[in-house]
Amino acid sequence: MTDLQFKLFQDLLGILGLQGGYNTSLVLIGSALLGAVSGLVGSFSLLRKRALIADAVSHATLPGLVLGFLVAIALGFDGKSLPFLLIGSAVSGLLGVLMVQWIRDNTRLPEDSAIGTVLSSFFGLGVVLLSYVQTLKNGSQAGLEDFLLGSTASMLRSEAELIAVIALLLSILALAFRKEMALVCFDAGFAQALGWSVKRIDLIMMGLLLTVMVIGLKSVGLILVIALVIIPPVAARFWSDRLSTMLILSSLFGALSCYLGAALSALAPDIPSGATIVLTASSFFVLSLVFAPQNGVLAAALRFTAFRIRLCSDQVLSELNKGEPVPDSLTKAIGLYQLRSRGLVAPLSMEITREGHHYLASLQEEN
Amino acid sequence: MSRFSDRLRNLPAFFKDCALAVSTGEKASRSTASPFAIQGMNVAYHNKAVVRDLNLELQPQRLTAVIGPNGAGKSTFIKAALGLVPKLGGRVSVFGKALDRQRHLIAYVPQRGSVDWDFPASALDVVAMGLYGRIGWIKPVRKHHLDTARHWLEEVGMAEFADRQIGQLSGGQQQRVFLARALAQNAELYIMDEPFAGVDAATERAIITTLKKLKAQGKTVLCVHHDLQTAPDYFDNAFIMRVTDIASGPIKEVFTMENLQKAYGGRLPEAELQAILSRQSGRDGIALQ
Repeated sequence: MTDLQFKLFQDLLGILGLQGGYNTSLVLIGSALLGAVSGLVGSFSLLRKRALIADAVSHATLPGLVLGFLVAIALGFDGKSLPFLLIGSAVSGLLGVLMVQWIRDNTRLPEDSAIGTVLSSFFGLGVVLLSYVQTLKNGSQAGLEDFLLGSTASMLRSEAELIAVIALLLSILALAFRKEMALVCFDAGFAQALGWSVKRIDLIMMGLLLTVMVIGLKSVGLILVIALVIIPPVAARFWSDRLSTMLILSSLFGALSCYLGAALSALAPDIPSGATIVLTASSFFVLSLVFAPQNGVLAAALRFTAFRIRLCSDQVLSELNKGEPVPDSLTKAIGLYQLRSRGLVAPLSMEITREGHHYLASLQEEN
Repeated sequence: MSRFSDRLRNLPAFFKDCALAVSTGEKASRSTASPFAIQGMNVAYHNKAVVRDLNLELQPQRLTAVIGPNGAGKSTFIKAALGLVPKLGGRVSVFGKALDRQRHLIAYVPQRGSVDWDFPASALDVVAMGLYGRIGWIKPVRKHHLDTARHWLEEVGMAEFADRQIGQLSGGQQQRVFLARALAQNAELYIMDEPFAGVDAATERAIITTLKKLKAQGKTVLCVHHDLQTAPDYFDNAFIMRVTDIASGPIKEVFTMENLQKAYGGRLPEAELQAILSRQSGRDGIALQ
């Protein structure tokens, strides 16, 4: 390890341990809360099969973001004051969702086509508005493009506080309505027949999702913010078949992704924090995909192999029993090895032991 | 222009009709106490009428099968009546009152294929959903709710699978979980959409036992049933339909060649219908004419 690497490593540890100064620590805590609530809210969107609508929401926020900026300077505020930008993005994000739903309900287009059309149209409009704002002689527009890819490094203390408070409120709401949201996610028809207003519950879910995405814009950026509500829940799903466990893990993955990602970004302020956060989340996903004990790829492959070996050795045993010569093959070698180590065939011979005969009898009973 | 003035002239009469419709409708729904009554319901998908002027008055405390060929609108009329798909007009009442005030009296068993069984929930979690109406908004599911849910799982012979993820159950077991969820609602009217579709023998027995118990408790059951052969064995009444209602009443009375031909005309050969009818009459000891 060179001195420089050592220094960087030390800095990272310092930042992670909240030793990086009051401001940085606050940003990290705010980011972690944001990540946790994203994981929570994202789980329900995923289970409602609405994950992709988040993509439409996030891209649809751009025109509103820029208009929020324009309204703020028109009213004599600093153009980049977060409340204006958040309200602007929320309004245009909402408009995007409503358009997607309208197209889905009133035309024969499937939802994904509606999402694709709406998100690209809004994003195009946003880019035009953004280019116009860049030509203004105002000066405060510098940094507006931070919202495209995220920048925790440039986050103010007041911004971090605002994000943290909203994230906390959203978590409380999401937990309060988790029973209702789970019901609608699993069986909306049953919920409706029972007299629950599916419309109202969907509205709560959509409102939570929209707000999470809007407060995530500053840290993760509108291009990547969708990852925050999709990747942690998907990673968590690998570990558990229980909703409660999935929600806890998803929040944890989200919080850790944002916390670690923001810390990395503090170390290398030139890299947009959206990228570091999403890559951290992706690594959680890959780890879960491969190593999760229940639904992971590795566990599934091991189970499959074990099952095949068991089948092979059963076959070899029954052929030995019938006195048929077993042809030499890899299958036979593996099967014999298995049978001998289980004590069903005597070592260094082809004799079936007493246990082996018992096992054969139990196999025949099963069939 | 003259057509426009005609329309204007007709307006007062139109408003009068509207007022009349509202008042008589109210009266009509109060006079009948059928567990489930539908008057003049239409349902359309795009430009196609799937259900047309459908009328139904369910007899209380009976097991009634909805009988009709594929595409007759059996599931659709139930979904529309419950407000799951939009309907074009029609009045639905439950025990004489508007549906929305009576939803707590209805238990609904959707088709098994209508949900994603990969959902992260155990059999017990799903049965507990039947209690959500009683638990109410925001309040959490408590231990005694889970105990109640466990009782209903036992009732359908599924106690040992309580903690199993629902995707790892067989089709029949999934159907029994749905049944237990409906039982947990402790309703007066049970509406089931094809509960016998693609289930194993054990599940079929469990459903039949449950239906008999519900009837003994004085509950009313409406059940979409695909199989013309078994309907007379399982149910008291039949509601025969194809887009609109054809006949409704005790199976003995409504299972006639005429009614079945109206429903299945062109779909099932006459000989097959004849066989079903003669089996039916043989059971009742009535000679077929």
